[in-house]
This record gives sequence, structure tokens and C-alpha cells, in this order.
Amino acid sequence: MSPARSRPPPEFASEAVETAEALGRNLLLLEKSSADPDPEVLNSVFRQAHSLKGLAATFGQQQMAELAHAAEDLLDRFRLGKAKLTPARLDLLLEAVELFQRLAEHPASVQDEARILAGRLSSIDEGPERIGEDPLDRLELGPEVRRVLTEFEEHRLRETLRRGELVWSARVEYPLESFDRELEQLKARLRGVGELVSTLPGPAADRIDVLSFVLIVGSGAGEAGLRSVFGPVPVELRPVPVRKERRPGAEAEGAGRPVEGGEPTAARTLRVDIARLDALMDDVGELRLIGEAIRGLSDARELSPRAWTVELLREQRRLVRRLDVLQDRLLQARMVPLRPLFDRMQRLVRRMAREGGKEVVLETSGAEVQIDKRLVEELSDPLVHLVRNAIDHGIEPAGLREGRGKPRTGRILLSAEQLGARVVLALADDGAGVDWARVREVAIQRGLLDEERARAATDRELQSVLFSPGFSTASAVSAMSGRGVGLDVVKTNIAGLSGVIDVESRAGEGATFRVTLPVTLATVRGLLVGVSGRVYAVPLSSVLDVMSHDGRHGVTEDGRRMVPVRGYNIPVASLAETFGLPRRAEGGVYLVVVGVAERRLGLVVDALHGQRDLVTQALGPRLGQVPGISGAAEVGHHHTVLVLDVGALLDEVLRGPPLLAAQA
Amino acid sequence: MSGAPASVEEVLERFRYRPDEEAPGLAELPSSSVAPDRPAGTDELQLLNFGLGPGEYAVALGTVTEILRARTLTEIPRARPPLLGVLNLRGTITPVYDPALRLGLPSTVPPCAGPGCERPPRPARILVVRTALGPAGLWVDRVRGVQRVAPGTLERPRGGPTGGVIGVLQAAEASVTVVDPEWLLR
Repeated sequence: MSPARSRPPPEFASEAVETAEALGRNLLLLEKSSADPDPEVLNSVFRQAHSLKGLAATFGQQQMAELAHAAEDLLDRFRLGKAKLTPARLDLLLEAVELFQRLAEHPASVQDEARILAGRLSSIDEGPERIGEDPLDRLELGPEVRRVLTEFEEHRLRETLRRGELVWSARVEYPLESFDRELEQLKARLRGVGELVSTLPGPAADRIDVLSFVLIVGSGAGEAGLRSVFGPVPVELRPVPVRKERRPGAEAEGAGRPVEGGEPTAARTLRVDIARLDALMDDVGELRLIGEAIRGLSDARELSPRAWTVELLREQRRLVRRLDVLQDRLLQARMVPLRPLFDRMQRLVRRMAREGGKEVVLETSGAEVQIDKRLVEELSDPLVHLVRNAIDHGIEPAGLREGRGKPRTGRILLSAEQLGARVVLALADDGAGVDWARVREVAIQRGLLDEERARAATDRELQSVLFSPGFSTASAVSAMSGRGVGLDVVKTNIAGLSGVIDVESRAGEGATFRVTLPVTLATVRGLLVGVSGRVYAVPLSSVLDVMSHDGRHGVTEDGRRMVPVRGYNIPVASLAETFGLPRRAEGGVYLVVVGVAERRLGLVVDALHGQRDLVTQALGPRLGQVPGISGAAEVGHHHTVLVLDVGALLDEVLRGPPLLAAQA
Repeated sequence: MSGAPASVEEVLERFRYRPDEEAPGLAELPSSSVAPDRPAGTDELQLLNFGLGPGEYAVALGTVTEILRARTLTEIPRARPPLLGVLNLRGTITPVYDPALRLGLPSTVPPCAGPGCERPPRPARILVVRTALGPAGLWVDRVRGVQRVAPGTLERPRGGPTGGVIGVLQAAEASVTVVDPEWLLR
């Protein structure tokens, strides 16, 4: 394979590195207990190596696949008790983890090392063969049970017997909707008392809403001890007798089947509660009924045209209602907690702090907040950017911090909070804060602002400079902070997710970047508004109020137009004027009150076209940031409407025209 | 708001087959960015010829990924020429530009975005070109077809390429100006 063709795509590298990191962490856990390794940890290391092999093979990374295969093979022998886990062997595996990470990023540079290590891993001797009879054959397990036990499960049963403990069989029933949780909890409670070796389907239960299981448990605790682990659930618990003598011919039936393969790996898979899928199936059933009803109508000749229309409309309404429910449920199914993303940031901070020689801890809150799976994926890059920024440019070196009377260790707080249909993610550091004076200087140097305007601009107004593409080209920023970190890219990414980014900085105390996002991206509910014959969508998550408007307004000293809304004066702007569109003859005029965080703005529009669920798309790199527009969505055949960037419009109207014109 | 078609006729319109929707030479479009294998030695150029007003122009065929029938676009507020608007190309928002302005010609594009837009003329096409910044469209009045020419027949401007003009091809009926599509977008 030529080097050019073997260059892995970035999504491969990131996933491979992530898997390798997890594998490394688990290996370190094993190190602490290498004499009697925790079978669960061993199992997960094995699965991770297997995932890595699959991943590498999928992307044609042969060298990595071979190394992962060698590691997986050795780990398999460890977990089946065929080879012994020694510190030296663990070192070899840890070496492999290092190589995985380098292979993921620069495959060409470490090919030879990988080949050599793979050879060393595979040359590790088999452990001593089992001598004499298999103790398992004396265990009175029916052949139907023996047949389904995996090689690993057999190994664990042998270990149980070797330790002189008993094997128990327990028959339990768990409710259909919670059995997986129950089993997980049981496994956790068993820790220290025994080991859940195998979970087998039990005889059919009497009720249809429960599942029955036969659990094979190894334990040295007595019956009472074991029973208490099961809690209040009725359980049929009996020890599996061990015969004194070996039953002839048992091994033929007991031939283990091959070890099960690992789980499918991919960040693009989603675990969904089975109950949610069942509900979806019900919806589909209902839709089929509606389909039938409509088919029936097509040959209902006895109906008058009028009655026929009424029937058809009735079915149509049923259909729409059911589709709404279906959509809701699908959106629910797409929701995942932020925790994995937060964990990833945790690892990133640890690594970056080590590399940069800084002392930093990341604290998180709100990891349980759920957002759309796709948002989690798309959020990763901007968040990495912000974290990197905070460590590189925010947190000062420990010595400097002490001099400034701060604790040596820098602190970054990553938090999430759901507010209605929005999620607010905040990344706050206690570093030096943004140097606005420097920002002002660079803005003038780069010709983004003329001197007069820059001097007059408040720190808040300078925010938009910080996020503009002209500002963060490598040379501009390297002069300021040593590294070309493009906050404009972060802003564009966030805007592509219909989100808004804001920064708040206190000199010497730190900076807080706040990202406000819709909870789901799959669809954004939008209010379609008409302006001078054009149609725009306003994300409903930022619409606070809609009212008719007579066009009258007051004017403040500095020329801002204000309108009283529910007892408050809020600034108003005509969308037609803002966008430089021809004014239309006055028809119905509406005020759409929008808001982000604490800011409010009334947008004057000429028509309301109702609400739609929109699938939004970014405008793409060629157009870049278009002031006031966050993306586009298709609302009909070949009809695309633009989605307003409410945050940017607020900035523009409240702080003056955009500092940079459209990149047309 | 447009989603709703004005008449049945308009709906049917979308389904009617029109021979001229089949842009010429589509079958010869290379399917990937990898340069097509050519027998060594033959170094001929494949050009996609199109018309703007009375003039004939061409771009290297390899730069064009798709030819669309011209359609109404979505206007970008405060956009400046030559940006005409955007269209949604199977989920990718694609900006469309008017090449005439860059070539110093009067624009021939009818209002094609916003409320005053007209149904685009039947022969009008949008050439979708691949660029480093994603796909972009060029609105042309008509597409003539694909032409293979030996590089020698192309008259290069004296003193290297000027602007985006790569060369001029003298043909019996009219001369064809070969241009760099990236330059037209700039």
C-alpha cells in the first residue's frame, strides 16, 4: 500500500486514539491487581483491543490491525486463563497503546516498531496446559447449559471451583422495561460477594411484561448472603451440585463455542431503550391503520363528494397527529447525555496540562443534561478549541499564578444547563482573561477597525472582533498569544448548530465562554416570517413573543428605537431596513420579540407564515459568516429559506452595524 | 412564501420530461477528482463549452462536477455581486455566482432570487464547480457540449495567462475563451 493511500482520515485517528486511551487506562487498572485480574476489566480491555482491530481494518490500517490483533489475542489468552498476566507482559501491552496512538496519527513513521512489537506479543508462550480432568465435568450443569456457555464463562466457572467456591443457579424475573438496569445493579451488588458468570434465558414467564432469567453465579458466600444481594425480588436459588466422579462423555456435549466477538464500534451508533422502540412500533402500527383507512376511502363510492372530503380530512388530521407523536419520540430517542463529551474534555485537559507543563484541573457540572446525539458530535471540535484556548492562553503558569495571589492550580469549570428548549454550555477559567487592549491594537493593525472606532468601542463591542475571521489568522494571533487559534471557526461551527457564543472576561480573573444551543438539531422549530416578499425562519427557541405592531416607537437619546412590550421598553429594528431590502407598502405589521440570554430585540416583519420543523444546514466555508444568518433550511420543493442568526442580529442592532461586511 | 405551487400546471411542470434537461456531455464527466487515465502521450484538453450573452466560453471539464438546470435561488441579504444567491444541492448549501461580471460583460441573468424573480430561461444552466471552499455554482446562459482539443490549438495569451483567461480557441464559427472557474468566483 502506498503511503499516500494509507494516510488515515481524521475521524479514524480520533476514534482510534480515543479507544487506545481507554485501553491504556484499563491496563493501568489491571496493573494494580495483576495477580488476580478483575475479569470485568480484563474483558473490557479485550473488547477494546478487538474494537481497535476492527476499526483499523475498516480504514485499511493494516499495521495497526495486526498489532491490535496480537494484543487482542494475548488478552484473550489472559482472560481464558491460558496465559498468565505478568508485569513484563503488561509493559508490552502498554507499549502497544503508545504505538496505537502514534500509528493513528503518523502511520508511516512507526511501521517497523509496530511490526516488531506485534511479533513479540504473539511469541508469548501459552501457559501450562490443563492437566488431568476438567473440574467442570463434575459440575451438574445440564448439557443445554453447557452448550451455551462461552469459553470465557467456562474459564470463570473453573476459577470458581478452583477457589473452592460454589456455583449457584438463580432463577429471577425482571420487568421488561427495566431488566437491563436490574441486571447491571445486581452485578454491582455482587461485587465482593461473588461473580455473575452467565446470564441465560429462563423458562417462559407467566406474565408477558416480565423476562425470566437463569443466572449462573459463582460465590463463596452462603445462601443467606447471596439471597440478600438479590433484594426483595423473589428468587429461586439453588447450588449446582458437584459430583464426586466424572461423568463419562460429558466433554463432547460441553465443547465450548467460539468466543463471542466484540461490540460494533462507532461513534455513530446510538443505544436506545427498548421501551422507546416499542412505542415507536406502536406508532407505526397506528400509521398502518390510517393507511388502511385512506385506502378504504379510495373505493368508498357510496359517499358524496362532500362526505368523502370530510372523511379524507379527518384521516389527514389523524395522520398529522400521529406523525407529530412519532417525531417527538424519535427526537427523544436521539437524546444522549453530555457525559461522554465531558469525559473527553477531562482527558484532554489532563493531557494538555501535562504537555504544556501547567497545573490545571477541570471540574464539570450538568454532565447529565441531554442533547441531540448529532449536536454532541458537532460540539466536540469547538469545545476542544475552547479548552485548548483556556489552557494555552487563559491559565497562567503556576509560578505566575502564585505571584498574582492565585492558587497554583488553574481551574476550568465546564458546565451545562438546560433552559427550556436551549442548553447553555459554559467554559469558565480562572486565568488571565482576555486582554482587550491588545485586541483593540490588533484590530487596528489588521485594519478591522479604524482607530477612532476601536478607541470608542467598549469591551463588549470588541467581542465581535475577537470572533471575526480577519482577526484570528495565524499571524495576527501569534503576535498576540503565540498560537493561531481561530475563534471565528468556533463561532462558525456554533452558528452552524443554530447556536450563539458569547465571552465574558474579567481582567486577571478569567474568562467565560458561553455557548447557547438548541436542545435538538434534527429539526429546529422555526417561525417563518415575511419581509419585503422574502421569507426567513426565526428559530422558535429564541422567539419570546409575537404581537401586532402599529409602527409607532419612541427614540432614545442615542437614536435607538424603542417600543414598550409588556411594561418594558425594548429596542426594535425593521428587518427590511437591517437587510437593506426595499420597504413594502404597509400591510399587517408584526413585532417578533427575540432574545438571547438577557438581551431582547423586537424585529419588525410584514407577515407571519406559521411554524415549521426545519432541518438546517450551514452556509458553508465559501460564504463563511453571513451577518445575521446562521444557516439555511429547505421548506418545500427546491425552496430554501435562510435561518436568522438571532445572536448576531442582537449584536448588530444593539452595537451598531457589523464590523465586517458580508463575504460575498 | 412559496412552497405552495400556484397551479396544477406548475406541479406537473416539475415532472415533465424535457430533452434539454439532459445537459450534453454528462456521460463524459469524470466521476471523481482523480485524473482520468489517459494513454500516455496524448495530452488533449477536455473543455465544457458554454455561452454567456453572445460570447462563447469554456472551462476544463474536470473542474465541473454537475450541470443543473437553472432554478430560482435564495437571496442572501446584503450580498454583493457577483453572488446571485444560494441553492440547496442535496443538503449542501451552494452559492451561485454570475460569471459575466468578472468577464467584464453586462449581466444576462434575470432576477433569480427574491420576490421579483422570474422563471429562468429554459436553456440556462448552473455549472457546479468543485473548489477548495466547497462547491460553487456558475450561472450560464446555455451549455454547448464537451470538446476535446489538442493543447497546441489553444492560443495562450502572450506573456502568460492574464486574469482568469487561460487561452482562446479559434473555431470556424466563433472563438471560444477558455477561463479558470476559480477566478470567476473570486
